[in-house]
Amino acid sequence: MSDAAPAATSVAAWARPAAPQAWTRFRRSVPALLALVFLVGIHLLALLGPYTLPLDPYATDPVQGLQAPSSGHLLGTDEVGRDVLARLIYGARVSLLVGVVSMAIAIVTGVAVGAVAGYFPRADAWVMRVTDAMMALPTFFLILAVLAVIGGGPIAVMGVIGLTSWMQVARIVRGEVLRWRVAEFVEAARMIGAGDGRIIRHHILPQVMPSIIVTATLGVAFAILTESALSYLGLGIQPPTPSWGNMLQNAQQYLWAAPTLAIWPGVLILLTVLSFNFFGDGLRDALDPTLRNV
Amino acid sequence: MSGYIARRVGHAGVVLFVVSVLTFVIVNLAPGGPAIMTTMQTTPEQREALRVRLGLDQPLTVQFVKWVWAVMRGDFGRSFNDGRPVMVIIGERLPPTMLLAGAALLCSILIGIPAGVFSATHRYTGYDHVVTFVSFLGVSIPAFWFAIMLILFFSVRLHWLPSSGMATIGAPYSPLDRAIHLLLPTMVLATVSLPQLVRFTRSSVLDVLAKDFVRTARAKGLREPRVLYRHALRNAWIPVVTIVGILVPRLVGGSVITETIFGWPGMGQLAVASAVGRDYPLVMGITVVVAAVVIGANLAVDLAYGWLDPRIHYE
Repeated sequence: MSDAAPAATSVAAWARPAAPQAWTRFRRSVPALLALVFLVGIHLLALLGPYTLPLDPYATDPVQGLQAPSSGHLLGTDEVGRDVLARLIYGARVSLLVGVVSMAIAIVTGVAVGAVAGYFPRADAWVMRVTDAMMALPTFFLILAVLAVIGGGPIAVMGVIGLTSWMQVARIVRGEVLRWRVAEFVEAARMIGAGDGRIIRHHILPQVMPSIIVTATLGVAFAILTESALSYLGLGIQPPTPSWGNMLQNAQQYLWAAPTLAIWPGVLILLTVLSFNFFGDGLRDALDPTLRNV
Repeated sequence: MSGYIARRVGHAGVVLFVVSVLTFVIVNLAPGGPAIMTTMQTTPEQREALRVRLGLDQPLTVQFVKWVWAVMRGDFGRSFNDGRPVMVIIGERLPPTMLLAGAALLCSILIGIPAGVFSATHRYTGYDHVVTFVSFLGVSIPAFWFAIMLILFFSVRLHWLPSSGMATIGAPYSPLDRAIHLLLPTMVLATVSLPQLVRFTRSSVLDVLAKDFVRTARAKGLREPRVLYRHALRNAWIPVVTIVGILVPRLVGGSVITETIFGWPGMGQLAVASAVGRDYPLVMGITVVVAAVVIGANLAVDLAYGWLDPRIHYE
């Protein structure tokens, strides 16, 4: 452990003053700040809402079906009398969870693939060929095929989205590993006996972190959109579990009787995805000013 | 150059082969495998007979070799659900999708490239901020929701545009009727490609405008339009061509949602129907054919890249 301590401190020393600087740059972007506020709000609502608000997304009341907003049901009710606000909040839990977990799967896969390709020249050509093949695929068709075979549900959806969206991360990580592999501090670490795994984890990956964080943020936006589309098609999250996508599928049958049923879930998807995109864009400008306008 | 083309074509072939293997493996990993289409009403003997008839009793490797051999001759077998050859069904569904995706791509290019160039030459102005915001909106909007809103507005409220199908039922074919039916789906599908094209064009032009030769052109007293059209844009096009290659798989993916909502009888709608109906031969056929189209488009863009940029010399 002690052998690599000097290198580790130097990375920490490089990283420490960067954080306040990044925050100073981030603050300048109004859309990014608004996005951050919205994201914190929607996550708090999704996390705490079910414990603090007296709402039940499953309680049906057929007599009270398709009601307009009232003091009892702030956003009205759906066709079997379930509270729309409650379903939106529980739907937020599902949509956000799917977005974050599938991106985590994509990041872990992408980092592993990219690190192997960049660090081991002999694996590079083959690994990147498979990555290129995955990138050329219209992944939505592949996702449909897989879900048709294994069935929907949150775990299947997270796995399928994660395993079809790691390619960009892999390419970024590979490029950065190739760049840093020959750096002097990596050479120094190897000299004092650090193994390949340790060099990748402690010396190269910290350099790649900013790009990974930005890609991850934008990736969450994409994953939420994909989940809602799959659930809308009936291949994603299955009712009665609410997700914004399957609420929209449901609402489409009542477009004329109750158009607001179709408006709310869509607005929430749009705002959440928009916020992740603006937040990611702001992060990119803040973490690496040289990437501006790219 | 010919060596390069041969290598690219070979690479595309390898990618297509990997896609076929993936497709075959996924479908055969299914619980119960493709034999799942036999319903509860069949007796075990009938199911066994069907398995033998479809060759499902043979080892996976044998099945795979047979499948690849058949696929190479364009034979994907027959659809479980309507019994017709998969290639015939796909042959019917491919042209509508190409029409829709082509229209969306054309719209994106005609609107997106000028908008991106103007945004770059007027950086940080009100116009630029509006374009940037609208393209963020376009990237973030769920296509199916956007489609529902368009239908609510243009079809339900205004009665201006049809909400589904490719033609008015009972009416004879006319290009105008087709165009009217094409309008809303094209708008929805273009939101998949337009924002990316705008943003990419903008950053590509900004990149070139910061180059030394642009400064030289300005310094020697050329007027701004000449600097832009003769010096900057000719260089900015090259990366823009690559993004068009990236947009093709996105458009094809986006066609799934768009076609389903608007009842457009193309590959996307077929993909959903076959996935929901567990029509495995059709699912496998669609995946491979769509991948082949996308890989072909990427190959074309790759080759166009070398032709557009005389500085690139292969080998």
